[in-house]
Amino acid sequence: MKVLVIEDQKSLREDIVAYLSDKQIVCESATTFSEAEEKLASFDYNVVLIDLMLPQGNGLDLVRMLREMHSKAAILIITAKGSLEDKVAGLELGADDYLAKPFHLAELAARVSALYRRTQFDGSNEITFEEFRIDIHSKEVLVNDQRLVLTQKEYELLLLFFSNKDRVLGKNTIAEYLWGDYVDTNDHFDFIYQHIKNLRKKILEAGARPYIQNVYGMGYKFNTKPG
Amino acid sequence: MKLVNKISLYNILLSAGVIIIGGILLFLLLDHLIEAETKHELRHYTRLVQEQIKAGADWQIIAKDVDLEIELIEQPDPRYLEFFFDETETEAIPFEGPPSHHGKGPPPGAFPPVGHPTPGDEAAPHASPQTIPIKRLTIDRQINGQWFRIKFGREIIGVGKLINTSLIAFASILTLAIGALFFGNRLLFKRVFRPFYDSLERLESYKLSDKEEVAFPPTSTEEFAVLNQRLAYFIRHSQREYTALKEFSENASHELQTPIAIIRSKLDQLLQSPNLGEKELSGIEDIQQTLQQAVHLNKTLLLLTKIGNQEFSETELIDVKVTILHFVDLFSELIQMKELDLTLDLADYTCAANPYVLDLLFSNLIHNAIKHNVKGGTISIRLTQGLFQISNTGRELEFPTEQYFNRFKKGSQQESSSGLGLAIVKQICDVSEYEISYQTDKQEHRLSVRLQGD
Repeated sequence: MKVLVIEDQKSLREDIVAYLSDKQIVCESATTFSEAEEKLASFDYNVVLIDLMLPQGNGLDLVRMLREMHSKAAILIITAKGSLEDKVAGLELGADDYLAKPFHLAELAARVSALYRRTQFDGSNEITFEEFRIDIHSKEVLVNDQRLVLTQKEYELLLLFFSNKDRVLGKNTIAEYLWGDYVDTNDHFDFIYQHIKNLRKKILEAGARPYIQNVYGMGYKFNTKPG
Repeated sequence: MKLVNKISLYNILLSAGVIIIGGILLFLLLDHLIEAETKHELRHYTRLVQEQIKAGADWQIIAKDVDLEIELIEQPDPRYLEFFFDETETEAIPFEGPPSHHGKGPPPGAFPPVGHPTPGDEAAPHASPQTIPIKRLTIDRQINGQWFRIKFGREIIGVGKLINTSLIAFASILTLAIGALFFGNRLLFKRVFRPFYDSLERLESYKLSDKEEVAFPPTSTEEFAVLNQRLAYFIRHSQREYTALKEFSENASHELQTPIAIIRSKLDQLLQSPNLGEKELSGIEDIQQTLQQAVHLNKTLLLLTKIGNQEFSETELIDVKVTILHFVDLFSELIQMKELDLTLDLADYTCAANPYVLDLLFSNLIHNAIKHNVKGGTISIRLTQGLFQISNTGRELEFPTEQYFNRFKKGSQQESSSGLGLAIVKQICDVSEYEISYQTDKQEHRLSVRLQGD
């Protein structure tokens, strides 16, 4: 998967690139509007992250440009404004998703993975990893061809782990991912513990290895090489 | 009470007072005048009788005059040597045709009979026990060597009659005055206070968030002109302040987003560093947690500004019941954790609103009812046509009810509460013109929102 991150904020850009880059993802970045224009014109990307507020131009113009080029890239727009008009305008122009600053990198990774899957029109609505097979459409999870019955939250958790393999996910990140803006994350730490416990139990019972690991009670990690 | 009514009331009370006092004074004056006049006439007439007797008229014939009593006496009563007045009463004779009067001096009708009624008249006075006050003069005089006692009576206009007459007169004047004042004031107000009401109307429809200035109509009344000028000044001034403040909070929130985003991503990255100990990890999570509060606060403040700016004005038809059920479901874990007894009574109701704003409204209201509840408490949510009611058990309010919707107002037990949830609710209701009310009965709290009916 090739991802282009268009973001003028140096620290943020570097963090995003560092977080997203792994064996499967090649992450490039553009700092300015013209640099972004150039890269978009020259290379093909699977997912393009566009910060709407760029020093020399509006990110919405890049969205328009991509769509005029009939690019197949999925577009995720990022804005600090968080205003509804931007969101609506971006989605109307052809952006695929929208993320408001400040976001958790784990959430960004989950969104990027989801977008990437959507652009793969070769019927691969499936995520596979070791003994796991997940059908995105039917939300069916198979472990060693055995069906895993998960609640909605457990399913979402599993997807988050899959897009953030070998990353430590803090409780705050998980809470915000699962319950969103409306919820005071504080209230939900106990539930995270419950959901993780149940998910882990179900996975183990299906015969998979203990991928989900506890990190000092502060967070969790989907360890691809469980010891 | 309206100004015109208030002024009319005072005017009327004042005029009524003046008219009543004037009436009493006039009454006293009249009473006095009548008394003096009656005495004068009696004296004058008695002197005439004396002169007639002196001139040799037969006193017995003179005495036949109905009003007159003349008798011969041996010795004068010292009391009667001067004109002696007293008052007596006679029973009125029912008026049946004009009574015939003979005699000299007073015109007919002016002297009704004095003294006791004749036996033949008895039936009539009984039927009409009314009495007529009589002013009587008694004088003992020696005429031609003989002592005479002359008694002469005359009907005086009774105090009662006088009061009656004046009352009718003054009541009529009073009624006229009240009517004139009432309608006159109204007319006067319409003309004179026109600019005042025009200004008032403009002020009533004015909102601080309005971009335009308020234009007051010109007026020739000096006070109103000054008032309008000062009002315009204050409005301009507060508008400037308001805009500046709004822009500041908007910019501050916006500008904070980027540094917060960077801190957050740095922390997310830091969390991935290998060989982190428990201490470092827990430190990072604590910072994340605190940062989360800052994020929430910042977002909420930004939201408050945006709602206030009416940035969410696009509306669509929304199934309110579905929205409520969505949030009940979202918070179901919290409800279970607190072991709350939830009662839902939801009617189908759709209304035109901004979906995002309505989500905010219900999520905050429902979350509020859960958050401030006690373990094992109750929540009851009712939706009828256009009316949403949510009541919950909870601790007694630690601050006055009026401060309920204030920003950052929270009970001492609520450390994690931002104190902004209900401020958002209030802001939404203000902007959307939903009527919101809060009632509390110690540990029972109820919020009602009247959604714009259609």
